[in-house]
Amino acid sequence: MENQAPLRQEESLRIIQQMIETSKNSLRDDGTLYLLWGWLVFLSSIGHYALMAHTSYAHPYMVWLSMPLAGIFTGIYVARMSRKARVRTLVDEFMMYLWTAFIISMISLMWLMPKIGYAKTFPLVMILYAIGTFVSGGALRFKPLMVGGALNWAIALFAFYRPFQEQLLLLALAVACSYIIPGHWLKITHKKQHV
Amino acid sequence: MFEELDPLLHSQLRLAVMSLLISVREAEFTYIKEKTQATAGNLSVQISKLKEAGYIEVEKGFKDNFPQTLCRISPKGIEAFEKYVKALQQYLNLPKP
Repeated sequence: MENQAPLRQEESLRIIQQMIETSKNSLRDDGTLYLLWGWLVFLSSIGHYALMAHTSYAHPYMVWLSMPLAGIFTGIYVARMSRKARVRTLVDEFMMYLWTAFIISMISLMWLMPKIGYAKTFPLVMILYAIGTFVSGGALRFKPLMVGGALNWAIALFAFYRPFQEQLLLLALAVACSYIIPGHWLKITHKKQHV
Repeated sequence: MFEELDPLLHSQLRLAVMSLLISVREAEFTYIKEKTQATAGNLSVQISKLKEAGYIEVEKGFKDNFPQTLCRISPKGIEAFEKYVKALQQYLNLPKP
């Protein structure tokens, strides 16, 4: 694009369209973090359930200690990705605010867990998952995330009326719908777009 | 009566840079170079012109020990771009959105 000759109006319009087109429609999220958190929560909730239902181990909740480690990995990963990025879109910025709000809400919820009661915490966690993934899906225009997020609301409502042990299995189902399946889907779609 | 097309925007490369920046928050020089397929020298000159007019903001810094130039459109640039598109619509006789 070196030509400095006067432009025709139609050509101007074509340049504007072409440039706007080039910076949109590309799925920049490759699903890595959805898969990390999805599988981790899935395995932890199944592990917690298995330890609780089938062993006499006194501290089955210890499986959740993997969460802070995943948090550190996520921090490093996000910092590296933003260092690598050569462009920042409005969607990127929006997602940063959304997931920051999500993390703060999640930590608050964990902090308040003894006060709220264990039987109510996991359904509330599912509602937070629903917000995070549904809104992300909308911003990325990626339907599987939106559908998965919406399913989490339904699972959360059902889980409120079920005992704690059963809620652990429902939590695994919730993350499979909102993180694992859309995460793999996102990875495949991203790969196809970036070959 | 037709509005005059802003001569600063009515140039292939400058218009491309502005169109690119209008749809993102900020972009690195290397990204703009890649998308517009311009040479570094020419792009640098055109970016300076847009900066002098106050249409874009340019931030120079370092990333991983390499020089980095970040560009973002300014409110004045957004206004000029919108005015340019409106004028273009008049010329091309397009219905306004």
